[in-house]
Amino acid sequence: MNIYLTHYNTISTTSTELIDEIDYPQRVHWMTDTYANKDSGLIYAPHKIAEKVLHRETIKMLRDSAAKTAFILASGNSHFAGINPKTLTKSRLTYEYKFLPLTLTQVYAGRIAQSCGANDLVMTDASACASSLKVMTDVIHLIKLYNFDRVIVLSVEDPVSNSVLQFFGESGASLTLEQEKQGIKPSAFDDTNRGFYVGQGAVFAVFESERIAKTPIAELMGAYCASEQSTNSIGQRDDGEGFVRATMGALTMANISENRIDIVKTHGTGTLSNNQSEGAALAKIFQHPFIATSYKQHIGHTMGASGLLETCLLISDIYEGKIPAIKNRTVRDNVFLSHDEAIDFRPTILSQAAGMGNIYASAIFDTNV
Amino acid sequence: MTMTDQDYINLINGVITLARPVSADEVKISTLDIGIADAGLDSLDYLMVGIYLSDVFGLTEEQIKEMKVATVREMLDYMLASKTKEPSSVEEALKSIQ
Repeated sequence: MNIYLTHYNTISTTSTELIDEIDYPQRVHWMTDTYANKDSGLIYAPHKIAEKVLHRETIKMLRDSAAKTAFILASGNSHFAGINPKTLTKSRLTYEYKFLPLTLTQVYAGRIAQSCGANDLVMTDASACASSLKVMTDVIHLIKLYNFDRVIVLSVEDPVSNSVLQFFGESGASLTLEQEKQGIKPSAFDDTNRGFYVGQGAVFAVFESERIAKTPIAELMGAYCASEQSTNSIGQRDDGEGFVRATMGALTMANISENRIDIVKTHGTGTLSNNQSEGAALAKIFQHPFIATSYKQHIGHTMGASGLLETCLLISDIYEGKIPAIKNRTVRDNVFLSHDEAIDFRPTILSQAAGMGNIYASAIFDTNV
Repeated sequence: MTMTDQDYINLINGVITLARPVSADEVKISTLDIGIADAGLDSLDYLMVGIYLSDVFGLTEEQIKEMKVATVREMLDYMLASKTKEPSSVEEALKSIQ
């Protein structure tokens, strides 16, 4: 039973804005309209981001076409609720929302699922920054083992929030203004530049079985998620064990060997830890030539949405005949792209994601459909 | 300006669009005398529409929590009976809560 990605909408922004009134001033990829009229208590930023990919025509089309349908909200780090603790410095991002029940991910998931006519199953996922790619395993299970025809995935959270900027700034995960003043730019797998800004983003994707798929965009060949033995639940092992396990599992599920993979969409946060861990994993897994890129330096780290959102951006780029470089990369080698590359065939891609809690997810898509 | 029934219908349909942004087309009222459930509003929709309207008419959240109504007109009458402000037009009202 083949499974196809048949529709997707994404939202993200390449532009940045400096949030300088917080404890760890930093740039963010921020769609400021998602915070418009925030002081009224009537807006909730994650919902505003989601609405940018929830197109009414698509929703209506899904609702009107009968199929056994599941809905998954991959909400990443799952702090929809309490996203702006009052104890933090008041900033442009501070607001209180009057509809607290709707900040619960499962309540919001249920409402959107009903709108989509996905009445057979509603699920949420909180696998941190691996969330949207981790649920590819659920998509495969539901269609292959539970006879679903369609699985709709919505992934969104709002990383441009007081609590995320505080936590990431304090822990040195995101690039701060202080580092920017030292000349460091967002990049990955590079000796000079590194890291990311956080960014708002969302993805809405429809996966269908071959029974009903009429307009396949890519085949979801396999997916897997894994963990690793570690003493640090917010870090990654230097030897990349989690990435290796997830990738080998996805290859096994897809029933292919690594030489089928043409392009790797890395997790690619560009932190020293991820550079080491993911770099080591790719070196272990691949025996043949391949190229790798990262999107986080273009659109920021959209956290839970990043894995699938970036995959869809890559698929769009492939259809346009290009693979974008890893931004601000100063090193040149044959694997990690330092300049945009033209592509004249439909490749098989491996997508990677990792999340706090030692969660790793891999998914393989064949764009030659 | 005194708002007519049609103005209020337009206002409430606009509020429903805000409360159900991805499926507003499923719920549209054409009369104020329709029951809340008959209009297709579930309990969360009811809560959200109430809070949006409380912002338009200047009611407190406590007053909204105490609201017990069966029809859209009763909801509107409850708002109007306790209002501390009133918009001059539907457009102005909707703009203030977006």
